[in-house]
Amino acid sequence: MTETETGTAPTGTPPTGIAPRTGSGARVELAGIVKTYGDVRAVDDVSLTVEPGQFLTLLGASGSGKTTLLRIIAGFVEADGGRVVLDGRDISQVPVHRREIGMVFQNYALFPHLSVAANVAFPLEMRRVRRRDRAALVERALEAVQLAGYGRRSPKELSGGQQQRVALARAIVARPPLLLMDEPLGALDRRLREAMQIEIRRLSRELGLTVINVTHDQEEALTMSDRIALLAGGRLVQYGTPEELYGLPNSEVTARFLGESNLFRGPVRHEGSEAVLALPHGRILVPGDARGEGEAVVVVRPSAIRIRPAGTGPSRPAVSEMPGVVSADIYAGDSRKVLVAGADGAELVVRCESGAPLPCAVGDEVVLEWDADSCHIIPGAA
Amino acid sequence: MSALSQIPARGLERDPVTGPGGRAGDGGGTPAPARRRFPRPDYWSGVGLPGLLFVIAAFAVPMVVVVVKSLTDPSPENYAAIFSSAVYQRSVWDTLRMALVVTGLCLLIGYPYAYAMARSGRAMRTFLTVALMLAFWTSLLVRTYAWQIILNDTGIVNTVLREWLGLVSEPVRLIRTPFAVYIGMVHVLMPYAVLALFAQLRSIDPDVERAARGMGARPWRVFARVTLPLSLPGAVAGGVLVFVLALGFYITPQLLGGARQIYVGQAIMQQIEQFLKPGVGAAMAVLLFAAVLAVLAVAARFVGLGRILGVGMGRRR
Repeated sequence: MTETETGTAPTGTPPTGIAPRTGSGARVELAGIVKTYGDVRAVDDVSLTVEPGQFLTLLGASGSGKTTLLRIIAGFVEADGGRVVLDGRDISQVPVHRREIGMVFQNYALFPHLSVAANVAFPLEMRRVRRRDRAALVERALEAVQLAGYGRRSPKELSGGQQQRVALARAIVARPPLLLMDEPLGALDRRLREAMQIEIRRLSRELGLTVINVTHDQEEALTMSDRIALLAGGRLVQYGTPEELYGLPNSEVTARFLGESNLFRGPVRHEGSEAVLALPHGRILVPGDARGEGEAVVVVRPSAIRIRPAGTGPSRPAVSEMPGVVSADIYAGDSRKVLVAGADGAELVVRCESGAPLPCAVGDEVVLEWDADSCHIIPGAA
Repeated sequence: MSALSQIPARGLERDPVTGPGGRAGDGGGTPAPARRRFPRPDYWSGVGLPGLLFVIAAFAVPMVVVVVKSLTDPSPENYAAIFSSAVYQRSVWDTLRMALVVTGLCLLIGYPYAYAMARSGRAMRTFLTVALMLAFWTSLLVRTYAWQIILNDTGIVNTVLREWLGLVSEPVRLIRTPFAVYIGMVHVLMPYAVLALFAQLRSIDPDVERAARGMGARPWRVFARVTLPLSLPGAVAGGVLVFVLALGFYITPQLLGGARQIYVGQAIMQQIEQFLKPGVGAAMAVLLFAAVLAVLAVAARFVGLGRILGVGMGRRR
């Protein structure tokens, strides 16, 4: 039986002695989780649901409460309020060792005094899997993380990436309904990190695991997740798919955290059939239905902006415009990042293809333009 | 000679409090970077020169004198005299047994104390550390006399047993027994064991214990399968230190022990003061010193000498 087959195995008594599972992960429900440390609300009324087999990333800066929330789910920290529900069962009061949740720590947390195989076998040992069944399960878990044959080594002999794989094998060997990961890739270098991202994702799909991952790395969140929960100051700012959070940010916090963005805030003014932001400089169109009264924030991604020299006319009709002066031109391989000091004083970011010649140099006066429908409005931003 | 056997102890009393932040990276999961074997000469280490001269003058030179004396006063026959003496052989076994018992007791009593120190909050840890150090900061002589007062036939223990509780009619014999020696020695030496264990326990990554809990281990199994094995190097380090110090102890056995148990430290003194055979005493001291070196050499194969000798110096790297 391979890893993939077990994922679809019928509910029966598996020969392994592990509690029978359908192979799919658990449904996780967080309801009104609150945790205060002194005067600080580390987690402030967070509610969300993760469907079986989904990969959720808790994304946020340090101090956003993401790690505390993960520890509450794991049971290392007791919440002051709210419930953690796993497959319909409230586990808020269940002690850590009976939650049967797999966890990967940032520093791996391998047992330095045990061999790789003994590390991976530990959860099986604790669940009283018969000794002769353990070896096969351990070897299969090590195969799954491409470390077959490493069982007899000591964790200390392995590289950081290999240790991380052992930690992963240890976390999945007992087929937990839920896998928690606390910045699992934080200590790896970029190349290894990207390889591990793909591998973790492949594994979690094959095993049908429900995964909750904590990171401050927006790229990791966008690449790996089915769902992202963006946290700031302990609050859940936005919860949705990576596409939703990147394309339709519901707040300035989201827009700033996920990818580069240019934000324009101002009162909406109607001019005939068009709505624009009433700003002293430039002309920023407010598209779509979101042209209610009051203030609005227009979010423009750097790659949607074109640069043209000052004094020339717009390249297309109905574009938004903002004048400025080029302050820097940064070559970044596959793209070119141009910083422009906007007429309103804000620094604006533009991403151009690095192949095409730039129609301007540092110090030139330019006009930035973008199509009205290639921006996004954060509504009701009062 | 007693001063000689106490030297390691005195040297270690400097700055015995391991800082709360002194969590060294040992025992962690990542491989330690290979240390260079022969570092370039560091001229700053010249500041250690006065200390080095002192050690040579106060320790190395007398040691050489002792070795020479053991071979020439009157002759190497001194060693033969020792090995043929039943009294000396008995005292060696008594000393070994005493040192082993004291080491065992220090670890047994010291472990929970060190564990509490390592796992409690800041305020509690400070309290436990100060309580431990109070014993350390009090003169050895004062502490030993205090035990004499407590364990005397007319001492506190016997007064309570006889006059207050009426449990016994005759005073229980406590003073001048191996029992009294064990109590006094454990009192003196336990801090070394506690500090070694504390440093080791603090170096254990809390995430490793969390990981074990998360994988379904009940608290006591976490302790048995993770915490205890990971703290063993500290137990070895502390145990060896206590054992080595106990081997040469003189004052405490002399004041609390009976006439029937003569430990090696006392036997050396006896040769010099009573039998007026300084050569034989010197030979005994040389053998004791050699035994201590042997124990350290064996232990160093397991835990590294720095860890044993570094106890209480707030290992930092």
